[in-house]
Amino acid sequence: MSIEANAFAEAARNDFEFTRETRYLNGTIKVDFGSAVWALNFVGGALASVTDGAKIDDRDCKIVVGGTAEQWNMLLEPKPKPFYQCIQSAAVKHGMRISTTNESFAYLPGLNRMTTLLRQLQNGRA
Amino acid sequence: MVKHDPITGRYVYLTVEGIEYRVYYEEAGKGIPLIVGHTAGSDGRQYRSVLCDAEVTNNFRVIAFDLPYHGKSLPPYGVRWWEQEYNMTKARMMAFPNALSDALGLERPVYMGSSMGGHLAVDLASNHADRYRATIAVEGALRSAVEYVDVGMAGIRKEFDNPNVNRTSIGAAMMLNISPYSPEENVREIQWEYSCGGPGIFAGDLLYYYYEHNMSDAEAAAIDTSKCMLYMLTGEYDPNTSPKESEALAKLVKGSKFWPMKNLGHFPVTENYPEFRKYLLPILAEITAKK
Repeated sequence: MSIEANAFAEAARNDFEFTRETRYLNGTIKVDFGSAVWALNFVGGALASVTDGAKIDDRDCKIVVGGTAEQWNMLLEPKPKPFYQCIQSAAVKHGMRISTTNESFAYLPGLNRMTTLLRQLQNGRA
Repeated sequence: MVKHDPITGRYVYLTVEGIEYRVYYEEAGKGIPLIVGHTAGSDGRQYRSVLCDAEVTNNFRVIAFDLPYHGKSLPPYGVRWWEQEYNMTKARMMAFPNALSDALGLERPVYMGSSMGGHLAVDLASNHADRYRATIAVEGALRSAVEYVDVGMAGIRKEFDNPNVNRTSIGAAMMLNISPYSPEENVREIQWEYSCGGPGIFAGDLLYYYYEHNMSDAEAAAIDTSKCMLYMLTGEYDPNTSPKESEALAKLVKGSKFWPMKNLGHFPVTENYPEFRKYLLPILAEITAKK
């Protein structure tokens, strides 16, 4: 995965659906790519910053998603193979992980949109 | 010029387990009755493309109904439903299409259902072969995939019946079932329908989908396809009932027919009807030829 954190932050802040579906969120979404870890820090529903999340404990995050670099590459294919269509199915069928906090379920529309934006960036369509 | 779909909607009163329900159904076409059953937590709108497909309705009277608590079928009046947890049982699932068939005077209809409706198609072939000339299980199997079954009802209710989570998330969760080849407009339509569900209804339906429907190998092997033919169609991208799971059922049911559907997911009827009908129309032609 070769996506720059700043490029994702810009795409996310300019995306109607992502900003709508993360409304009212306060706290951190930790995204573990295997080779890098991002902390998406939200204040009042706005993506305030994307920082290095490697040293942040999962327990300090509202939501945690993760996988190996290979799993992310499969997830972010333009037309992924069966059960890599989203993080949830990839978690159940292919061993990626997603937390089960209330926020993980409440902000699932935002997580789906995040996946779409990452997919677009990965494939040069942002 | 005013544009209409060729669909008529009505309400019928059905008594199931001693309770009278006002049930909404839509229909189109003439010929062999074809009852179509929706997925867990959704409603009959999923079948709008089938109802508008003249190649289907030229020979089939398609009847799409909303289970009570779904779509335009309200909870039963006179029952204090808000004082009890909603759960769908196998007996009740089978009773509704049977009662609908009786009320409308249908003669050995075909039943086609998707997801929990797909499992129901298998249960009807096993338990009510005298009532149906054929059933079509879309995403049906002996049981749902073990990884999801193992979540348990408590885990299911935490995700889908949780006051911290609004129902937009139920629609979002359906992404896990949907093929990346499906047009986005259709994906969003599926999610919209799921977001419209009543409180706790999707989770309660999953009691049947994950637990009450659990067919043994022996029961499957006893299905008599000479009485009620069983067809199975399963999408490649369905993690809840994958083609592998449907194939296991097909191998047990002598005379049944099964086709995996490439590039389709758990909601093939809505995800991509032009692709789905390529599998459906030959089945309907075979049923028509046997009439």
